[in-house]
Amino acid sequence: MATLSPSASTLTRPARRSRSGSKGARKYAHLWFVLPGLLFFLAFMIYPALFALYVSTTGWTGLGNEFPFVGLDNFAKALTAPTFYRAASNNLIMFAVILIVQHTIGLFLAVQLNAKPRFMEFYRTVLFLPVIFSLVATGFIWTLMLSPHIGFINPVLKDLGLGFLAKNWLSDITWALPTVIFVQAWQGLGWAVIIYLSGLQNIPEEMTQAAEIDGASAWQTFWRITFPMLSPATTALTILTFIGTFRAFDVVYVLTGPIGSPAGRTDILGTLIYRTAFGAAGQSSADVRMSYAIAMSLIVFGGMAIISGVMIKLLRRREIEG
Amino acid sequence: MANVSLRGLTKRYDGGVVALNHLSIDVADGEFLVLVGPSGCGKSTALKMIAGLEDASEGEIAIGDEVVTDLAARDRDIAMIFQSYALYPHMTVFDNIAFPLQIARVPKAEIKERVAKVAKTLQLEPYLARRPGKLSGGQRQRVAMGRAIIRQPALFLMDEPLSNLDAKLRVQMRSEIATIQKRLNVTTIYVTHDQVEAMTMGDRVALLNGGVLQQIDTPTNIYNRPANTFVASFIGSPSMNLFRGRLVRQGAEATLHLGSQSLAVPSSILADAPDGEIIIGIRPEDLEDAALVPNHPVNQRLRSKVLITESLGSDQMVHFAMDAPMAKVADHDLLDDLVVAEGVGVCIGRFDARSTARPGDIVEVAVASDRIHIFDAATGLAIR
Amino acid sequence: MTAITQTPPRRRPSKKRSRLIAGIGRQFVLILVSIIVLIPMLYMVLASFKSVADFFGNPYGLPSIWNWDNYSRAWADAHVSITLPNTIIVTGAAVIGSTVLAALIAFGLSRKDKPFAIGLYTLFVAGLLVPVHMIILPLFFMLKALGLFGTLFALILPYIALGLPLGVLILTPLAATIPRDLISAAEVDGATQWQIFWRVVLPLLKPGIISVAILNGTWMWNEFFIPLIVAFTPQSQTMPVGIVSFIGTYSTEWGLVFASVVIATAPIVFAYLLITRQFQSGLTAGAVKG
Repeated sequence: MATLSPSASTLTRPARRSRSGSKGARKYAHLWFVLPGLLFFLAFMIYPALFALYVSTTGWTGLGNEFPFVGLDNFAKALTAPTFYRAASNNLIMFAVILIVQHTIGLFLAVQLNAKPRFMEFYRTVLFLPVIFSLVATGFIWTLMLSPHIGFINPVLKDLGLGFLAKNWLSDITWALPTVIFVQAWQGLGWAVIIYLSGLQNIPEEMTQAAEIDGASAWQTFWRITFPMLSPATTALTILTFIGTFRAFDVVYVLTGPIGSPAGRTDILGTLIYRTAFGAAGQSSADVRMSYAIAMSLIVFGGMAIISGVMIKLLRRREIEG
Repeated sequence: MANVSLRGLTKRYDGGVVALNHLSIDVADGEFLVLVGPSGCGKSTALKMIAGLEDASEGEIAIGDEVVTDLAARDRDIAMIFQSYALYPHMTVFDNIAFPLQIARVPKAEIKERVAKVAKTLQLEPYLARRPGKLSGGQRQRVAMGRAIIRQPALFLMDEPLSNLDAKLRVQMRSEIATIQKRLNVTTIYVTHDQVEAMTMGDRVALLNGGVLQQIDTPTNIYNRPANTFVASFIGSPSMNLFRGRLVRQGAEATLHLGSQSLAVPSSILADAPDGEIIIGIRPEDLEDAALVPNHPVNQRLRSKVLITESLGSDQMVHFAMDAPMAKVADHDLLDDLVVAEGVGVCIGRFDARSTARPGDIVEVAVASDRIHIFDAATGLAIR
Repeated sequence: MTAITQTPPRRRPSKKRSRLIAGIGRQFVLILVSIIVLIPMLYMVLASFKSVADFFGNPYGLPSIWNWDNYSRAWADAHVSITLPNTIIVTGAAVIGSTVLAALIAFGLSRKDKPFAIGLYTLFVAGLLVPVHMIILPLFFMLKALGLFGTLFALILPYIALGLPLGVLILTPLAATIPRDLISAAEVDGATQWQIFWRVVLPLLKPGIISVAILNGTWMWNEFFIPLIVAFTPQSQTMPVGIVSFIGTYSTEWGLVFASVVIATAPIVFAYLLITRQFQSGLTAGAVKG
């Protein structure tokens, strides 16, 4: 309780001692909570990013202390290099195929689960399971599954009398890229199922019931009511797939190695940048240039930021105002 | 326990909006002061500034004998009850009430004892282990009370604590809060927009409008001697009838002209009111069906057509037409004239239930002219 | 009216039957997909028990002898005995670090009217777009200069920083939904900002914190690229990289490799099976927001 001093009517009274700092200090007090995280962020994110920007304008090899200024040469070189476009187009194919798989098979499976079949929880758990697997584990599993002689796929085909279908999946010029994409799709399908499923579960039942009463068939109801209501899920999944496929690295590194064998057929931006920066077996050391690698990664970063920004704008436009 | 004094307290927001304009009030030790006014009048802002939740743009706040204007809320030794109750949803009722003591590192045994005592006072004993989400509105309100009184602070601040309760519970809690406050004798500042709460609970009532203090006085004085037309129209239900009229004096006789009618008024209520344009205020209960008061002087009557009657059982509200312009109070310093269609204003009288006035009837209305209020036509300030 | 003009009498039973067929079809599809998902995993577990000879003689059947030896050798030779504790320590420390820091930031930035709140929020969230490829090289030299190479801090510190953007993205809007009155009440009750954070804000952020912890924990446990660049010895590696480095030396010993992969994967799969729902909602929450 406050102690009462003899009544004072003057306005200049002793100010109570503040334990919480002055008014001005309190205005910025919230920044103390931000500070520790900000220090980490500045040290391990902002500083390296700025340093990368600087290095990209030099001819630094990654060794030594020479940083000759070369302006935008690295960027120009990347944008005229056939390997860069080959890698980018492989990423693009990957994105397109996986996108289609997500939006067809993924959506289809989500609709099946949304009908609440028996064992629904089990299916749901299983379908999402690959998502939590590391890409390294996934890569190893499929390397062995697909290996020409000792694996799973080829021996099973052979024993079923379908030996003519057996392939050297990961080293076949034609089949290597589709195989890599298949493995990625296998791992990522769970995303599509869960995201679409939660989208479906957010659609109020009255809405589809109303359509049914209005005489719409199940097919009409789906395309006219359900699918448009799912557009936030579609947007999220599309962006997610875009970022995921253009950042891919691990799965290719494990399945077909850092040079994207065979003959660069599975080379993607991630592996290209990696081996430009650090080198790889079967590659001449003259191709290793850190500053060039960083310039490429900056191009990829900028491109992804712009494209995903545009995609979000376009896709959001068809979303229903919630 | 302490007295509180506010000196020229002002809140100005970026962009020039003035939420509170030089508020100066002295609250005595142990007093229950009600801040009342329409929404947006600055009463909640004032309370938040006293609590230390908003900075003062100008002015000074002292609690007890210490200036606390620049202190953080936690250093002001106050307890506050919020309109939303602001109970911590993840804590039990016990922990909610004990929170201020836990923060102050009061020994566990003492906390237990004090919470038990408070819970007993507020009849919360069966609910101590529950979370606020599992309580009714009234119970939550009590928990908020408990959290405030357990600290024995210098000052209670209450921000519309009853507005989320249903009408019946509100009446009950009204008297409970008043009782507890009197028993603890802690200085209390209570914000509400409900004039009934203001009139029944406060030792004194401070009426704010547009950030400016209109009047501060006991409930009786506020009602009987409103300082201006805003106070006159805000306090009382239905509102005081306010009409523009003309005052004409002839020797000791004074006559008020209301449209085409005139009323004789005793010069005692006129004080130094000038002849000419004025605003006349008549409370509905000062009007009566003349048929029920046959001895009422003839020159203190109005004659008018009944528009609507609303029976309340004990009495009835009779709306009748007046051809004088109504003085509508829109803002504290701006009086707008409102003329209802065809120059007809509406006047409301609280007639006895025995009155037989029906819509369409022409009635004689007896006016208790010694209780008429007179306001300046330009400023709206009371003349007395 | 409908009875006369439309519904033929046999429609009801046929509808029932078509529903039954749809149900069977649905189960068939779901079982098929489940098999496609589960076979490789089952195959991984079986392979971890196989001897070298089994891989050639009996590629997809059960192992002829259940070869626990693979596990003991993975534990010792493939350094899982070192990389497993490493992974637990790195993931645990980085999850706790980044979640607590993100929660602190979220509280600090939850009031948009405070100075710098919006700018700092944007800065943190923009970190989501930065590809690891771009910053890994400067990071490499920085860690080297700080003398952190060979220690687990070389992983923990960058992980904490990389975990912040998602944490801030999820927790800041959540912290902003905590009613202002609740914070004011705690202030009036005498709590410091620090006490308000720990006693009022943090408990109310719990659902978001679980999401953030799962989201960051999953990628940190599985992260391959960063340790590939900055950790060269088993003493400083986590399991995914430990296994890949190891395979260079023992490339045909698939049983051994898969024993390591099983050990690396089992903990997170168990965690997933234990709290499936939180994993699914946590991971999708991050994905949908990001």
